[in-house]
Amino acid sequence: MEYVVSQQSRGHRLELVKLLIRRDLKVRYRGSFLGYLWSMLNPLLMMTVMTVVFSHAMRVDLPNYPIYILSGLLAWNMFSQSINLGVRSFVDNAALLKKVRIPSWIFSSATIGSAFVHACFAFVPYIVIALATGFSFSVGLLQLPLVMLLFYLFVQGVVLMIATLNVFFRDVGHVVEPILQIVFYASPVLYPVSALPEKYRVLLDFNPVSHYLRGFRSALYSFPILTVADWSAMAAISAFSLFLGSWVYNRGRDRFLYYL
Amino acid sequence: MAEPRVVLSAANVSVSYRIGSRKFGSFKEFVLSRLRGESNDLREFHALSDVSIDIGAGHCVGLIGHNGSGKSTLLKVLAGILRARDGRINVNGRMTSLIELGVGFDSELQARDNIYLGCSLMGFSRAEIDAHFDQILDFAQLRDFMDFPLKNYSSGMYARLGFACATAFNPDILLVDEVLAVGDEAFQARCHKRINELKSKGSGIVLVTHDMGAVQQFCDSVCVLDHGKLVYQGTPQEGIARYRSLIGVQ
Repeated sequence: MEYVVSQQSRGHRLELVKLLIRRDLKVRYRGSFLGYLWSMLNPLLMMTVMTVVFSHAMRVDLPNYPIYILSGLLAWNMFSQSINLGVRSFVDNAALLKKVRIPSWIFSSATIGSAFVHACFAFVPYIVIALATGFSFSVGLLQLPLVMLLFYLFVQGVVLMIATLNVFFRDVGHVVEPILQIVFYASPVLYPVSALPEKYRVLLDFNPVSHYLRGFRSALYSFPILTVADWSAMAAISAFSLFLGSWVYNRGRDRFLYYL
Repeated sequence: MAEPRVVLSAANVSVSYRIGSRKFGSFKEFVLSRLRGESNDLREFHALSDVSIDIGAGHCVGLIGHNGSGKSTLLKVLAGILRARDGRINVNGRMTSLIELGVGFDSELQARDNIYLGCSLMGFSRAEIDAHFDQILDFAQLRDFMDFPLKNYSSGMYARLGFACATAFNPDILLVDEVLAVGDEAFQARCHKRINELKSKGSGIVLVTHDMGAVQQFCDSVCVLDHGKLVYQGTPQEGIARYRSLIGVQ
């Protein structure tokens, strides 16, 4: 069928995504006493526990280990929250999708956006700990915006794909959590790459998340400045993810209404 | 009288679902049924067959028919929410659809945030909402309650805010699904006035309803649907008579 609109108003979609993100953030901590402080306290708590466990029990010996953990958790929280909430972003907004003419991808973008903003609250404890431990920031910090942009594109692709599949098979929503657990331990979020035996390190290259973790660590921890190869790897993974996600989404989107 | 400019037209629109004898709720069921070699014999269900209508500027067209006749499906196809299998739809201008009042409102948020959210979901820009903000609040008569979260609103207040948002922008086309009977009599009277105002300003309106009084009050013409087919298109009087004979009511 053909659907022709003479005066299309497309320019407001970014505004809508912003409004949806604002709504998420406003509603999230309604009725909680400490509100946004929780978003800062949680990574701090996690960092403390992990530092104690890993540096004493597992004998990880890294300079500024708390900063290593915080920078890893920051990226990981962006990823896991986006995936966890993103997989349901179409199903959760079914009531809206049935009643207004709106492209469904907007809800996936808004969910990821709000997860990213939310995870960024962890910058506050990061800075506090960095100052307290005398960590010296490097020029590598300037890489952060581009790393985050590429990371966002990667996550957007993944979420488009799994959220679409979840409309047709609700199993996808259930399988996401265990998979996230596996990816968490398969990624150097808490432990350094050097803690892995030599022969397994090669496998890390097949874990897409590890490439972005290196990017975040280059900006936020004293990892070397990213090379052209590092950037190319991230760009290629992002492009592939976005391509695959859009392809799956475009194949499914017209049939959503019959399944939601 | 010259024919008015057509603001919305649908030509030969057909919608059909394929209903499987079994439905796959999960991947397991899907795979198992394939492994067993069970065929999921699909039955074609025709929700709309070959429907064509034109809506002129300043005209109100009523869509009537029994339950399940395809009225709401047609409205959703016109609104661009549901994709038809065949046909062509032309939209000439801004369109607002009122399929449910207060779509996208969040009960935790105050009226202000909800006006921006709701209107933005209907496709209006921040600047447009800024310009109509006071008008919306005044029409809904909720200025005194604008700082309350919506969960503390009565259902009438909620509906008033929804109606005010949807009709504030002088759309070229307004699609309405059975939502005119909201609020108290005073508010209903203002809703009716507002609908007539939009008509006289040139909005084309499609009204889905079971309320024959509303049809007589607003509609210039009527389309009667029966099992997905357009069986009558013409004057309200004759359309209503046709509809009543179809459902067996005199």
